[in-house]
Amino acid sequence: MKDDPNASGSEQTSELLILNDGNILVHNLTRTMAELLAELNPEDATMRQRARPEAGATIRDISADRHSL
Amino acid sequence: MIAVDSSSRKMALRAKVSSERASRARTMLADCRLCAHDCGVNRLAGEVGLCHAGATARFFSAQVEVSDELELIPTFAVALSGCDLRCDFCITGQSSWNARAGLGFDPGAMAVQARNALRNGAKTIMILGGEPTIHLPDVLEFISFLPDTARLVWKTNAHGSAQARELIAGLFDVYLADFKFGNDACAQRLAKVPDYIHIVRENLLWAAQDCDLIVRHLLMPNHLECCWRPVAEWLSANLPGIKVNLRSSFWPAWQTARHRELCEAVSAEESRAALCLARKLDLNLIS
Repeated sequence: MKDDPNASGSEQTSELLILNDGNILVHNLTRTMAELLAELNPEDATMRQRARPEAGATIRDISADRHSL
Repeated sequence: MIAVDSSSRKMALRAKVSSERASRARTMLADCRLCAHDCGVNRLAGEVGLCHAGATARFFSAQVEVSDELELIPTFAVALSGCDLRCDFCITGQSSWNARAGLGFDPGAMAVQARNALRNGAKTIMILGGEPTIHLPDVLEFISFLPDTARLVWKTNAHGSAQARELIAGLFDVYLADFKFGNDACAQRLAKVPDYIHIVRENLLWAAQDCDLIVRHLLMPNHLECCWRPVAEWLSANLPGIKVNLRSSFWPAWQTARHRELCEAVSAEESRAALCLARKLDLNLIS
């Protein structure tokens, strides 16, 4: 999928892995996907920041790219 | 001697310097020693080293992303195909192990995309792979087309050679390095790379002097004591205060089935213990 030429053009690519404990791992997170995940789980402060990175606040959380739904 | 702007830690006339270095880097491909494997093959004549990269770069992804460190996002991330390591757990293994994957990299055309991304709000331009070190001639040419004010991030496995360090010195604002393994045995077994620890440490110590250094460690299941602990202890002792991003998002991808202990995600207990160790060592954690 990642070496699909279409992934390099205007189309954007994110990959998700849903673990059996409900955690979701995300790779190549785009703004669109971050907005979707933030909407699905409004409690996820990290994802809210990634959906709106201009907010720019810094938090210290081990699971920056690991999100629970 | 090249002038360095000490306030921004960025080289004045970066585009011009990059252009000159790109030409030099291209001639170096005749006896390629860009990474620490030190193969010495003539890539200009079609020979390939351990990375299997040719004389020109290819890329498998170029898009604006928000999954990196908060201080870097949104970033326009350009992922070049091919790598000098062979990490069995590589999340982009198909393209990182295959230098022929993706599309041909046109530095000028990519710079147009990067400039557009900056105009549309990207804060940084990130060059990654695979491993970008093996494609330094094209990377340097790409930089030569970018505005001197663009904030550039070098995302690397920190396995570059002294020659590579010379070529990138002063050009990047952020050196974002993976410190994956805490001992040479795990590095050899999981990524087929010898003398890993010495090489990575050398690069990190250099990078800390050259620009803003961020060190990432991807916590691997069942590697807390053998990998994370020595990495954390070394960072604490040798690079105190350096920014560290401890990631618990291990993804059992690519060839992880070769290693039984990697065939799972990192447990919540391991994540907590890893974080606890980081705090005990007073690491400067960022996310």
